[in-house]
Amino acid sequence: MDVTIPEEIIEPGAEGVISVWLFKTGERVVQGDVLAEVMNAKAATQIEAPATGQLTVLVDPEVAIRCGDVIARIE
Amino acid sequence: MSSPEPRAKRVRRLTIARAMSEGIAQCMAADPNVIVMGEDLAKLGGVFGTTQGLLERFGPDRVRDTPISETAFIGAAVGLAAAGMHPIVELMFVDFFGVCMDAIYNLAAKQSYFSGGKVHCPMVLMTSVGGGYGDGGQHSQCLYATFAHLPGLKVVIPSNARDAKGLMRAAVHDDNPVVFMFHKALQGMGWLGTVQGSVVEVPEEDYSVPIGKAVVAREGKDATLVGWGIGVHHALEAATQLARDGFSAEVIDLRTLAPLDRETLLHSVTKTGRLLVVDDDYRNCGVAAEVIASVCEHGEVKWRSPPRRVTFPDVPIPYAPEMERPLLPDAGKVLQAVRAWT
Repeated sequence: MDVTIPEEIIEPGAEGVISVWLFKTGERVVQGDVLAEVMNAKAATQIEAPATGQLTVLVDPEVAIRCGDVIARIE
Repeated sequence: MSSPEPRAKRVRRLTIARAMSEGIAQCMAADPNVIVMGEDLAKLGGVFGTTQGLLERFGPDRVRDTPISETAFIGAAVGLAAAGMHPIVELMFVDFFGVCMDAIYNLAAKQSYFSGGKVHCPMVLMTSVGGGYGDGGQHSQCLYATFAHLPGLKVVIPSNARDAKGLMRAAVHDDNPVVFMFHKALQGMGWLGTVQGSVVEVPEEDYSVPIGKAVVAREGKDATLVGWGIGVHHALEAATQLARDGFSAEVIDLRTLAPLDRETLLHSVTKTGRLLVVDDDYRNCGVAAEVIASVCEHGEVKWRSPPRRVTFPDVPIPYAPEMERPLLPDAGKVLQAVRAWT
């Protein structure tokens, strides 16, 4: 399953960045684990795992992201 | 943290920034005398994320943005502490201590002594330390020794989020002024980079990590590597690589620089006979020197090799990353120093 940036976290047209990953590629995560923190217009929000499985991180911290971007995969 | 057992329960990992914020919030909820003041701590939640969510939860009377005058708000904190409050203030960069040092070391550090123990100074001074992200010589220093040198101050520095939360509670509950240093590279703010080992599972309940107690972060028998803050992570990384060569390094995380836990240091070096200290502060008269002297003067260690330190050299910190990075301690320099022994 894809981990996608929702509109509630980064509104359409705006950009943000992942400030930190709390889990790394290869780790098992459980639905509801906070996976990463996202910084957007000086507000920090958290991204939760939408599913349980093995995590693959696709986007590094400090790279510009928008809503709809796939930042990780859980298999 | 590799290939864990399949689990069904959630794991709650925090950055040091979040752990500090949570620790402060729990102290504020438990005691109405705990207040927070400083630059950009209220609306922004701290430039380094140390006070996230506090304004929303506790309101502007207890979480205050101050003007850019460390002299004024740190001086005010000393007065508030004398009057029975528990102020937590933030000196955004430790490098800015010049304009408020009188309040810190002539007022706060001496309050209890000068009053014969009748007036305490239960304040916490949070401050960011460390470089590595090209912010220039007046935003990148550590100055551990500058503060650890002064009687009347306690100085703590966590290497991970679990210790950060527990040390914060211990600092708030201490009757003495506590300088709570946090290393920018461990903070969990993207623009500073984050050493992944600082992000760990953190209990939700309230707990303290005792001030003045170091911890063995990794056990070993051939050498003792001592660090604090980011230095712990350099030492751990080096220890992992050394283990592949059959060399077993013990790693000690000081957690507190003043008072120094000499007992844990001696116990370890008596066992290993080798001591290396990682210190990203300047070399001359640094905490690394104090650690080495403390072990040497005890006289009971049977040394297998002379003690060593990996430090920042005695020069101002360059602005250009190409010049700064080669000067900073890292796991490679620790490895090099250990291999020079054997």
